Amino acid sequence: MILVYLIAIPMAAGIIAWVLDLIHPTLSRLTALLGNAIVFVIAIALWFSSGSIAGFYNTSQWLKIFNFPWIPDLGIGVTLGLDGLSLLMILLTSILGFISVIVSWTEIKERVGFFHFNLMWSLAGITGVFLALDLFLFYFLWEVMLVPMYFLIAIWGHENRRYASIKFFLFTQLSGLFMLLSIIALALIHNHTAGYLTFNYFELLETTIGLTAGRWLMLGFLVAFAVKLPMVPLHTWLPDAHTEAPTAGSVILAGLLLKTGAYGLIRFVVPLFPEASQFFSLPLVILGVAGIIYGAALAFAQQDLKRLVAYTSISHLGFVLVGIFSFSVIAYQGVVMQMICHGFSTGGLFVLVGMIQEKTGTREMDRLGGLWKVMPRAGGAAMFLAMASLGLPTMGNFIGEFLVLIGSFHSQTVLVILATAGLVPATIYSLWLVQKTFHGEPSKEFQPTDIGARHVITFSVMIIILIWLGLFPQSVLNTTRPTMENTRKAITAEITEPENDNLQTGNVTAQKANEIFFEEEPYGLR
Amino acid sequence: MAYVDYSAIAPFVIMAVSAMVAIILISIRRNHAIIYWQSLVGMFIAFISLAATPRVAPHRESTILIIDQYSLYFMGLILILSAIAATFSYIYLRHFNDHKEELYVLITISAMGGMVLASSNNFVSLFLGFEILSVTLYVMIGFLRDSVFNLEAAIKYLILAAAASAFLVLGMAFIYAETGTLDFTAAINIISSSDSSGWLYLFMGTGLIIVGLGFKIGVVPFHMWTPDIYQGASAPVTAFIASVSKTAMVAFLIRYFSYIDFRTSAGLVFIFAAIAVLSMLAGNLLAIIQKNIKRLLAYSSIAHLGYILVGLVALGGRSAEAIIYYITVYSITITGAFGLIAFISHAGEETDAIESYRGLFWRKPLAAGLLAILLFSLAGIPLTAGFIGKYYIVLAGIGKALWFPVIVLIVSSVIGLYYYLRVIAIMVESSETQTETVSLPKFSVARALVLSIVSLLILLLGIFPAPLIALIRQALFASAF
Repeated sequence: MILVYLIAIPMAAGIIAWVLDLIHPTLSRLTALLGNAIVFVIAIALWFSSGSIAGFYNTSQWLKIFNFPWIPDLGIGVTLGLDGLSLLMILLTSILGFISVIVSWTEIKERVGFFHFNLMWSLAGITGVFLALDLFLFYFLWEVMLVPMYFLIAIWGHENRRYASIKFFLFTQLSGLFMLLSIIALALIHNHTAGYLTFNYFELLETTIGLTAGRWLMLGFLVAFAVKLPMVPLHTWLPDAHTEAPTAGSVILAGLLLKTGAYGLIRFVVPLFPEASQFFSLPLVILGVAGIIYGAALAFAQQDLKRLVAYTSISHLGFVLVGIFSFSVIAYQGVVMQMICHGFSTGGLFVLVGMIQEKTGTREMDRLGGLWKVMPRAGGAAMFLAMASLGLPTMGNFIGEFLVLIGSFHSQTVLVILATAGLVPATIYSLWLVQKTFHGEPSKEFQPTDIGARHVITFSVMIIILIWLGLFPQSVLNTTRPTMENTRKAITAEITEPENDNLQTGNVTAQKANEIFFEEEPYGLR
Repeated sequence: MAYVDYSAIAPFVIMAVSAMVAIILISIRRNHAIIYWQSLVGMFIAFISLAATPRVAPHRESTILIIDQYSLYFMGLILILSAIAATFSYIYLRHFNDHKEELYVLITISAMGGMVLASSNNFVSLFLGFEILSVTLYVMIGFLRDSVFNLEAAIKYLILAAAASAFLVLGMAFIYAETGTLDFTAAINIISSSDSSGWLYLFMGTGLIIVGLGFKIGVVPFHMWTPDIYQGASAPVTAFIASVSKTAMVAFLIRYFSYIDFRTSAGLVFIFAAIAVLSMLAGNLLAIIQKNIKRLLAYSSIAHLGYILVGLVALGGRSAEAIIYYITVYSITITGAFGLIAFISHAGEETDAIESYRGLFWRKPLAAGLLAILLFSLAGIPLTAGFIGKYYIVLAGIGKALWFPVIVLIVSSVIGLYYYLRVIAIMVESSETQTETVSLPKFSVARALVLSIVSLLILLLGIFPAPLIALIRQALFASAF
């Protein structure tokens, strides 16, 4: 039942926030904060009770399962399940949700109640996506998170909001419908062999699918997740949507919505279609690497601060794609790390850009400059977040990218070397962002004041989490390990399962990392 | 005649009597409210009488009607939709100064025609129902005699519907010439037991019948009238055409095609698949360029009937229930949508330019919010019933491996989403940019209540579809096919 509460609480908070706006806007902001806080407390409690935070790790993947028939005639049930991966994603959701409410405190002045309603419902949909284990329910919630997001962009967005919001909706809707097609076809194939219609994840995992059918169905899922991720030729909605959205919208888009794509690939595509995933792995890794380099290059070319940050997402999520389709536990661990850290570092940068726009009224880097003198605290935060974004060791992003690269090195050596080269443009655009905005001669156009306590706390929280993840990643790695091992098992059914528990016990020493690396090499480099 | 016979024809008799009572009442004293309530009570009693019909085996009534759970379901749906349309008309016409009472008589008779279609298993009752429905619609469309648009639409509909009837009769004649019977099942039996030459007559006959029915449900290439009539007729009447008339025709189509099992004829399957694909594409593409919301909904209705035809091509398995679910939800949604247009319009001069909806979300939050729900349902977005319907049709289509029509359905429904979103985007834009706001009628509790109920129903059916699905399955299970 607690899993239902995780979805119901944000929804209830959204409705209450809408109503309370009639009395006073601050009340609706507080309600939204409270809703996120409750979800956060529940998620933390679940994390502690799982024990993995303290260094243990469960051998069973699922911590909690909830099942309730919804449309029995069509074999659809409300099946929710929580494992380490979804637990971390829900923690991320609640923290970023909290931050989104905080950063909208002064930015959103009109229709406050409706804003928070949309915000909370979008968060509820995202939470649901991370929990759903019935494929119909998953698709249902996948769409539920879209509509409020559309309104967030269309109503509170910037100049070009109508175009951006419709483009965002159409891209995700069309790709999502192909996923629906695949979901239905998969259920019907299962119906054909098992004799009954069901959309339950665990039952569909058992389906035997023909070779060609599996590949087609996998492509249907892939399109939906690749648009969300975004994978390179399908990314064009992202810069528009991120740029035109209000700050809270950008934080949720970058921090959470993109993660639903990665989550879907790990949870559904790889376990459901192991053969097809291997079949398409090479082109997908190539596209991932292309995304890393192309996104970074485009980020560097931007004049608009927000657009720059948006393009960095394409680059960072390229690592996720590379990691997922190299099928090693280490790379998967890195993917999760990258997902969480990208949420905080890029989310933080969007908060920063939103704050700059609020104070100066522009996002054009040419008109900005020298802000460090007037806003030293913001400058420090910007420096930190830029460093995290470029993958400096001691920050979580480094762990994520490093694990992805080391985990996928043996399967795609040349491509991984290219991906590593992608870290160089990351350094350039990150430093470029800080230099153009904060260094140089102060512009005489505006006299912004430095950030207040609200932003200081927000940035501090994000930076502390990033450093914590960079220095002590083990608790996160323990939490997701059972999930990742099961995911990989699906892929390497034919390859002998290497039995290493090195990641579980504690520190990853260089030697142990080497052992893992070599043990996973099927041809035996030793 | 046994009790079964009386109870089987009771709904028809009650509706006919209700219409006559209304005429008598009008001749005594014209009173808008009394006639409205009297018709409503008539529909209510007819609805109750449906429940009194024994729910055992399908019952054939005097060879031309068949009363089974299936026809009872559709009769109930038609009665509910007619009651909603009558209520919209009442609210819409309240401050209209001309004779307006006859509209309820027409709605009652027209609904009866639809009920005949829903329980027809014979070409005679098909033609009867078809004509009762059409003839009353001519008058209803031209009901506001002072409006040029009303009259233009009425004439257009009259000419085209008469042509469609002619095609229908000719098609029936072909089938009769070959088989010597007007009963569906008997005709099919004769044709399937004779040699293959009989198929030609059935093919030609069915082809001509398709022209007639295709006109009525407004699918490509028989769709030209739809936007003009939708725009020309007053909003409550459009609501009636879009919901009752199409629901009745779809009810008939499912039964007819499940009898003839037309999947055995590749030609017919191809024709239907082609009509479906063209309707989906043409409807959705043409809707994009519309500047008038009634025309937009007209083109979207072409596309929606295209979706339903995809289900019809996939007939067998679960697709009958898919079509029934879809048409139920669609007809409720479209009634609500036209009701909302009536909601924010004055009788005779309607607020139907999309441009005049700018900022509606902030001026009339309730109306705009409800319209947004209905548009999302038409677009098939989750939390609304339209999504479950679309999902159901796709399920049926893939079940029969109709990949091409299903993919066209998906792609064209995204095109559809674009124009629904455009309307919503215009509604949420701030109205400050607009210099003069269109005058809208004052808030009325009755309007708000009726429309809230319709919209909430759509949400409810989207979140808890299980009871309706169970009802439909049960109705199909206990029916004559």
